[in-house]
Amino acid sequence: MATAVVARPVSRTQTRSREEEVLVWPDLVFIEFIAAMLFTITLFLLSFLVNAPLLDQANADVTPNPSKAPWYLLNLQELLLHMNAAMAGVIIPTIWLVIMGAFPYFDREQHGQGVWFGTEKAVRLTIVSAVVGFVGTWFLILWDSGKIAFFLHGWFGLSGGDSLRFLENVRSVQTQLPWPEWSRNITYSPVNIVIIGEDFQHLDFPAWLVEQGIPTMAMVGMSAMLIFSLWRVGWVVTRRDALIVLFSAFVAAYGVLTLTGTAFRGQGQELVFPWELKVSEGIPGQE
Amino acid sequence: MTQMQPSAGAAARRIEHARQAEARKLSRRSFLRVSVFAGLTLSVGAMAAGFLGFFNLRKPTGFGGVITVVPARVPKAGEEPSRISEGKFWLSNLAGAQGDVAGVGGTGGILALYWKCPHLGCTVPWNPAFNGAAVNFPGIVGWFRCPCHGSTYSRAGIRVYGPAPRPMDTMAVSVNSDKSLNVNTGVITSGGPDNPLRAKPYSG
Repeated sequence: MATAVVARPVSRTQTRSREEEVLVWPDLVFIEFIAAMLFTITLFLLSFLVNAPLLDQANADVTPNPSKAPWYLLNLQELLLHMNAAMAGVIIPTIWLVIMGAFPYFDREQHGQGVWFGTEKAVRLTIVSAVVGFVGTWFLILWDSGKIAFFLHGWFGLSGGDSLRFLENVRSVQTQLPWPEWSRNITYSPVNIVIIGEDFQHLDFPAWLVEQGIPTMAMVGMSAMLIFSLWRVGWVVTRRDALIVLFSAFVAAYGVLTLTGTAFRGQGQELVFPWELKVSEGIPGQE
Repeated sequence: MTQMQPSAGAAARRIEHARQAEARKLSRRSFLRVSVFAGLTLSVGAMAAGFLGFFNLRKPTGFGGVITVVPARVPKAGEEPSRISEGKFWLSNLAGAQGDVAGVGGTGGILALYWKCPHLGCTVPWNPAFNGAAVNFPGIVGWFRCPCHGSTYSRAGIRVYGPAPRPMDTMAVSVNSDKSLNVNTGVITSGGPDNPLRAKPYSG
């Protein structure tokens, strides 16, 4: 078999005249860049010379009560009220973003892509999951703020007595149950790792349960139970159905968290009605 | 040819002169080398000096040092905690088992509670009217409540609910003979259920 050897044309650098060349950075960008540099340098020098007249507004010891993030982050702040800080602020958002990014890899069905409510029971699933997410999130918030126990006690005179005190809120599970002493100090690592003053050799099981265990069980367990029970009644058929359930419940929960953090959290992050919400500037003596 | 000799000698002298002048001048290469190493020495030296500076412990006044609280600012036993702004702490004067909501056997006294929330560091205010803990702690009005995430602490800094991982931190207190207090704001101990036991007896 003969192999044809085709000589490639030798490329030679083409000479161009100056007029043919086009700058990769247009002139305007250069001008803007120089302006930005001048502005930055001026601001830098100015900040050396002149102090911003913030005075008491920049006093970290004066904290408004309640202290709130911008409204679009109040869902995260609301989560922070109920669980471990790293979990609520970093781990859960990251995991959820990864899960949402994985949706198209889990639901590989081509048929009906991009169609709103594209499966047979989609509308029903959306409504049911949104209602469950809405009610479930409110229930958990009310429980953890002690309001359910408070209402039962105040409205109906019901009291669990000493045996049910641990149900008042999530933290009571740790503080009101007679946990044996060993369970508060379970050694699980042969060496002690201390990160920012935190001891990672011993597990305080009741604290772990309250700050991480119960919230994880609530979030993963309730989502799984919702999908499972809707599958048992035959409404969830395809993977897309399961994702519709998961996402609708998430949107409802996210909305409730944002709403609660924005309009229902008063001083000391106490759960109040929106018309009772007053903000104190936190100036000493004027609270 | 004979006429060329002196001129050749002059040229050689000129060349030798120029060579020596060139040799006396700093060459570009050595200038750059010296600059680079001088710059490197300066910056490393500055970093080392900055690092060593940390070992020169200064004696802070105000927060971080010892704060003397005059007797007039010390609350009476059972009164509302008072705010000592310059030391960033609350001074709680517990009457008996007051604030000992975990039941560790507190007998009262003076407690300096660092007002930084052990959760995420907000300044915790005293809420004298709050009794939302009425179900599990009936009859106790007045709690420390964090404005950021709602962690709730008793008068002795014991966390009863909210996301904070531990009770409020305490500062070292000593009582002087004239009933004033020395609070060492540089000695901060992580809060624990034994907070009420750390209270210093005080009779003012």
